[in-house]
Amino acid sequence: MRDTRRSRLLLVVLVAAAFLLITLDYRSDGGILSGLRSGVSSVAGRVERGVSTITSPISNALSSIEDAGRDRRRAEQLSQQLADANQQLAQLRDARRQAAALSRLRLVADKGGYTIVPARIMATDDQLGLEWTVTVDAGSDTGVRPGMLVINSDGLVGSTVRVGATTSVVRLACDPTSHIGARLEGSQALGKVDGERPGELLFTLYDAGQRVEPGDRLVTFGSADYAAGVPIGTVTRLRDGGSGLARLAEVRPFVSFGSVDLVSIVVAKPATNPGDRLLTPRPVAPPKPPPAPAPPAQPAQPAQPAQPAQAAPAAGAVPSR
Amino acid sequence: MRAFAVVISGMLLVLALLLQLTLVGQLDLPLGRPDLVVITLACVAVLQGPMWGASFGFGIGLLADLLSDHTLGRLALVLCLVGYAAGMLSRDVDRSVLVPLATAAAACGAAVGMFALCGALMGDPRVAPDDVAGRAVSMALYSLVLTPLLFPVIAALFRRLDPARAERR
Repeated sequence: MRDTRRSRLLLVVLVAAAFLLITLDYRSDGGILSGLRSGVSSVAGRVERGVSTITSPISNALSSIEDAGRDRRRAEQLSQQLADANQQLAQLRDARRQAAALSRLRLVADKGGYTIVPARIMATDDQLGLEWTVTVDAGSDTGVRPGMLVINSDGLVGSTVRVGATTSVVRLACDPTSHIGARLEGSQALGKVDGERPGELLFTLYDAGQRVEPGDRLVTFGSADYAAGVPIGTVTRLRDGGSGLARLAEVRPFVSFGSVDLVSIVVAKPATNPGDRLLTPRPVAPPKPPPAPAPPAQPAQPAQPAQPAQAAPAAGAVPSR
Repeated sequence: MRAFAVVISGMLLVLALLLQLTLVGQLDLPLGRPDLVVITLACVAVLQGPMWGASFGFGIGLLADLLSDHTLGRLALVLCLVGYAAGMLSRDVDRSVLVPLATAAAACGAAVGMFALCGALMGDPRVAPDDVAGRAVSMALYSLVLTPLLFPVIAALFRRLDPARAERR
């Protein structure tokens, strides 16, 4: 029963089967394997939903049960009551938080004119910690199709890749295989945003003639599938070492991917492009002049590095757009 | 009784996978996350031998593959090999409590490493070497915490199901 011929033969057969599967799946996009996959995911989605309704009270309870303290019955009773009350409180807080999140989502969708389907994240498909996809509890029954944007009230979360009847798999924007068309705020400078790691995306500007600078904000460009105007993040640093001609920029996303809970899937786009409407207005005058690094702006430019503290010069250029 | 042990092992692994996806995957722990599936597989394999390790590794890996986004068969391959290797140590399992502990830790490290290597060979851009090393180490460390809890339970389960086999060992 140890390392016999039989067990070695079995190993060889199984490894060969695995290689066969890898080859089949690697070569063919879609086909019978993807059908099998979405079938399994929708069954598992149902089970996962059941399991997570069981496990979420457990994790709630884990976080709220107090130390039982002494072995006296009264103390136990009291701490039990306290734990119950705390759990109720935690649930209540959770419900209130969810309600607030839902209304924020609604607000964002109204602002952009998007038609949304709200969904909750049921599972993170974090196989060995190297993948950034999540499963949400909305599927083709509610009109979700692959390739739709998933947002929360802060901005872009990701896009749907596989859709079952009641569940879908969402690839987060920070997944390195995610590529989404983006546009700089206030201009038509196009580019794409690739995932890099949680908390950092990479923006590639297509047109070398355009400029990107730290502090610029990005929204999705939109396409046949993707809705336009969803906020993505803020440029934090240029790659290409400050030559001023950088086309690669690091972007800090508006969404914190570690703590996403309620999301919504944009199932229909508005008739007109919402433009930059979804970005929160800048608090004071922006640190850089409005997008026109043309001759008239030149006198302002040398002054800026000298005063990084942004001595807010009254109501600035924002309303000009 | 043997068939019963097979069913129980399968159920344990599926349960581990579901818990991994719904509960553990969403915990926000320092360094990284433990992997219940690999730990459970290592426990089953080290108790029951390489044939069990290889077949259950392949099966649960395939199920996890189906539920995920990466190329089908990657985890099946990795977990099949990891299960087989862990099963090879089943002769030494009674020698010391450190054997299952070390097996689980090594299995976690090896699983992450081989999965990443597989990805690198297939040109998966999600693989970053420094990240992988950190994941492997943290997962192995977490397995040192969880194995002492899981292993005795699984061992007792098998002993009850198949006393004769446990005697022979």
